[in-house]
Amino acid sequence: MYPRLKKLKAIMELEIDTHYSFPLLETIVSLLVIMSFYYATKAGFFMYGEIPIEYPIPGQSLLDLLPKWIEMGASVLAGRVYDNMMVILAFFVPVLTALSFGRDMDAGAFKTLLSYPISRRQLFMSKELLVLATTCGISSVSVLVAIRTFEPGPVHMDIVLMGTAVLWIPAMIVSSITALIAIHSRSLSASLFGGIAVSVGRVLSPFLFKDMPDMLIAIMNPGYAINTYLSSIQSGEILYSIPVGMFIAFAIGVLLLIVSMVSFDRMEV
Amino acid sequence: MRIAKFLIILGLAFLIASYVPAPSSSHGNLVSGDRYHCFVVKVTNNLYVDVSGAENRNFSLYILDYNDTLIFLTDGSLENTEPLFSWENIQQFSGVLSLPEPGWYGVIITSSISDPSFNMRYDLYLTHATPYFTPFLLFVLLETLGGILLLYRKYK
Repeated sequence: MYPRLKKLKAIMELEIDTHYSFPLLETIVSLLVIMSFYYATKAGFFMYGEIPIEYPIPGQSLLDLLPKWIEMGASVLAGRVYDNMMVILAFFVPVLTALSFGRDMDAGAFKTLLSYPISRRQLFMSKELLVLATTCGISSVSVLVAIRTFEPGPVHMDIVLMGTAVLWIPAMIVSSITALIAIHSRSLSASLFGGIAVSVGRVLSPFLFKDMPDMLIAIMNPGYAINTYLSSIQSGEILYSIPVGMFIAFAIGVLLLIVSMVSFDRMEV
Repeated sequence: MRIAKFLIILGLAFLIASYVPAPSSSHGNLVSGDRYHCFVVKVTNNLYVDVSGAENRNFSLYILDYNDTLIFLTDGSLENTEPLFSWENIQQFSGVLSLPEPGWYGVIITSSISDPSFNMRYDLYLTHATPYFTPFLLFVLLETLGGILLLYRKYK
């Protein structure tokens, strides 16, 4: 197991030197950190603008509202930040995947890479892992730091799970599809534009098709589904459909990852 | 060398993040002599408050912690509360309040004249004060670590 991990690490280092050369990686990471804090600042502040301001209030609704508001505060903040970050990642994930796979296809670098003592699966996994770690990994950590900054108190497991679902699952799907396009088209531009089209289409679908079923929204755009639940509707039906939709999206993501890995395995170099 | 550069650039990103301006909440309201206006705000670090009474009229400003805010909302008066900060009979207040811990606080404004027929207009501006503590701390830590690594590599 250990030599395999060592090999994976070596491929990742090579990948960082070739596709994430200085200062590309640093710029992406810095942008994601700044954007997480920007959205958390906005979402963290807006909460008190929504509280009724004048006392006495008929029926003392503020007294009922305040403890509930505080209890839900971290989830609402996390939902808004994750949703916004997902839109940012909708651009970064296909671009980085297309650069990682498509550029090597265009330049014919796979011949050189596969002449090293590494398997195709290791090469595929290292490329995919780097894309996901650079985009979703960094975003997850910076969003958690931002939430801790603006919403003091324990970070509950549901927020971490929400982040995983909103950031990682869509990224896994988009990244696999972009890799598949690169493998079959053997072109950087086709994978770049194809990946961005899939990614943007996925984010915009709930806005374009207003009558879309809740479960389909949770599959296509989990951030939108969670925010709709947290901020307005909160009906039992929607709550039930969100985790089911996310589980289906996760299954689709894993399936696409396997399909693209098999395609990469069979690809002629 | 790359890791040192990475840490230094990441640290700078946290520095920018610690100064991201928070949106502000601005209210211009009329308060009558027998009423209080209560703003319940979530404060993570320091709160910038700017209040001024129109036409040189005086007002009182109180800052309560969460428990006292709940007592105030239940009783409708400040009698059983211990304000963290209070300014009475003032025309204008502007400053950054260092609150003891992150949490929810009540900002309460009332007219200095307790006559129900007396209306007073005030303008209130609230926002988070920058820099935010956590990203600024991360900036200091990352810059220190990056600097040490850079010097270590240079002299090694």
